[in-house]
Amino acid sequence: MIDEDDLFFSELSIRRFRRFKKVKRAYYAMWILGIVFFLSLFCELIANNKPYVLVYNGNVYFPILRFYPSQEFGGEYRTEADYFALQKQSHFNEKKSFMIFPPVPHDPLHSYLDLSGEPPHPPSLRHWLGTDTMARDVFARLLYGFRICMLFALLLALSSTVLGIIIGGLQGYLGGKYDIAMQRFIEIWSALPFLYVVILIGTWYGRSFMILLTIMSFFQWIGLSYYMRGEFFKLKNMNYVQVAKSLGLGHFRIFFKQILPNGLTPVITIFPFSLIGGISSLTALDFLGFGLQPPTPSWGELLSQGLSNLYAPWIAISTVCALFFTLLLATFIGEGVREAFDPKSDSYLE
Amino acid sequence: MNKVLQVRHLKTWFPVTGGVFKRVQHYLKAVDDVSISINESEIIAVVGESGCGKSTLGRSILGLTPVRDGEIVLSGHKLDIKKRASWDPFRKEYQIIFQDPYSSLNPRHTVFEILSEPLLVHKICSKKDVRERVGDLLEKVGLSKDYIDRFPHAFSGGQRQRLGIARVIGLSPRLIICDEIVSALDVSVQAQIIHLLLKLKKEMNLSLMFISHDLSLINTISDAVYVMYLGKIVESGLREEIFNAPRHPYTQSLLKAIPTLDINSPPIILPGEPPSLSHVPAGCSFHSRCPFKQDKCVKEIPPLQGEDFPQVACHFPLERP
Ligand SMILES: Nc1ncnc2c1ncn2[C@@H]1O[C@H](COP(=O)(O)OP(=O)(O)O)[C@@H](O)[C@H]1O
Ligand SMILES: [Mg+2]
Repeated sequence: MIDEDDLFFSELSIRRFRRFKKVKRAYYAMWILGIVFFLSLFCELIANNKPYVLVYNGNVYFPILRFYPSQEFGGEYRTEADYFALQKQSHFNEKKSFMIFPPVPHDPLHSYLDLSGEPPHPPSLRHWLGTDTMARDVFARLLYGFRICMLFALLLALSSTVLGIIIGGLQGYLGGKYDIAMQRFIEIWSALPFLYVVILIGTWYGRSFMILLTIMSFFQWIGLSYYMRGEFFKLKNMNYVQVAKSLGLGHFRIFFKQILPNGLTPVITIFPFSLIGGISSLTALDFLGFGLQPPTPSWGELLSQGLSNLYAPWIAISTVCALFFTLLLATFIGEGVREAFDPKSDSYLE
Repeated sequence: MNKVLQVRHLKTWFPVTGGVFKRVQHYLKAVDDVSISINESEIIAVVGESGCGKSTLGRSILGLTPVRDGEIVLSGHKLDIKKRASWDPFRKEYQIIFQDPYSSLNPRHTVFEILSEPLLVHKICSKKDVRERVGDLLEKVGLSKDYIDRFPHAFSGGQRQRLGIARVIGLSPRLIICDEIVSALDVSVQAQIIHLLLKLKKEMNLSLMFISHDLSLINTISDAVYVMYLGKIVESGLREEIFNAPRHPYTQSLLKAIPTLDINSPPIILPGEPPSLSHVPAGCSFHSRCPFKQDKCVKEIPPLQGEDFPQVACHFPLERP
């Protein structure tokens, strides 16, 4: 039986969402990963070595939003004030001043050279996960690294999805010579040694976020394009597509409005896994040193530090744990989605 | 008389490929040398067993499948059949409704989206008025305006076919090709849909091309009948001619196969399986099942005799009573 509400959504979508919700670990994983990623978008408010507010000499400052030279607070230079050091100075406390720091009062790029002993420093109350070989706070680096990694993986998954849909979809939609030509091209293209290309282009054009993203999306779309080709081949012969043609709807409308919404199953089921792929490949590239430009906070770079400094296990352990849980959550989501879209559960017959 | 549609010597052949190099080995002649014509506000019917190429004929006329050869004249304009774009100016006035009401409506679009899209594409009305217009269309085909935001899965087969009708009549077409539009429905629903179509035909001055294998339905509604067998027209004529005095043995056997309750004339079922288009017998393609077969039938293909109605393609047509 259908209840009244259901009439306003596509029946299949509702059944799939219900099935996804039933896979508890996937449903919770989606929420956890979603919330953590959302919070990580505001990293600057969570981990920062500049206070939210600073009251000095009766004036109110917002260092997290604005730049203040250290002269403002009785320093000598016109460079940005070192608020951590300032907090400890005697004149600061005499003038009835105070500041409120974010929960993690560290910047991922700041080296704490004032700490006693050689870096890396072990975990302490001040540095929860210790510091790395350049005396930078590991927790702050993990947090910022998570954001970059997720953003990269999301954008990569998005762009390769778009490319995969358009290229594979056109193959299925147009068929014939275009399909054959494209198929041969894909065979050659996918045989290119991806790592060499990344290294080559990286040495020529530098290793910025955008360049890496572009190169990687040029290789990532291939898997999805096979599925989209099949979907479009199948769906273009559906009666409603034929009707749309005879009604005089244009190719663009038929492609994107009539066929695509019905062919999204591979897109949605593959998406979490291309996310996983994106996270892993960026981490791997960073690990090998061909990824993002240092000193960008990155998990791969932390991992390689951790491995070459095994006597400081807090680096390797915390990074591996972070990577493990992120990939685990994403895999749970992927599994749940796949289960929800499994055509087997849509049929009532054995 | 105004001709809405003229088709002359139309051929739609599907290449059958095989071998290592996927070379074309032979053709499946789904429509082979078919000529038909439809006058304004006329209903013609195309009958034949399933698989004989009726749907392919309908789709070829609208350029939905590549045509090999022949002439298609829509409202007096001869189309360049090799160019898909030559149908574009006629997309508004020439429509098709398919047999399967379930796959004819996009499952991911609401009724509003389904019915408004053609109106907007052809600029029949503005975005502002389109909702009201869709509501009117729904009422015109006997559905409630309240259904406007629902998805197709909420509807029965008959209601879906009404939606299919609403979608095309919004464009005020001249011709609607109805490809077995009621054969998937219950008998009582069939009657309602036919009744609706006839009502709309009267109101809007439509021409209809009815593709069907249901002879009793055709007998009640059509003006002219074309009988198709393995891709070819074997007999055509006005309804009375075909139903009262069939001249082709195939037509006769079709008529005799209509189930009746009359004990004195039990239905006669044709012997043998209908041969498929991939194995068309040489000579007269019907000879393998014909009760009046002679030597000539095995060797020579009978041409379609007669300029206008009635026409028959048989070496030894039955005498008119
Ligand atoms: N696109 C196509 N490609 C190849 N063969 C086709 C195609 N469309 C239809 N056919 C073949 O043409 C024949 C006639 O089909 P169809 O026109 O659907 O018959 P009908 O509507 O009379 O049942 C069938 O044998 C079918 O397999
Ligand atoms: Mg058919």
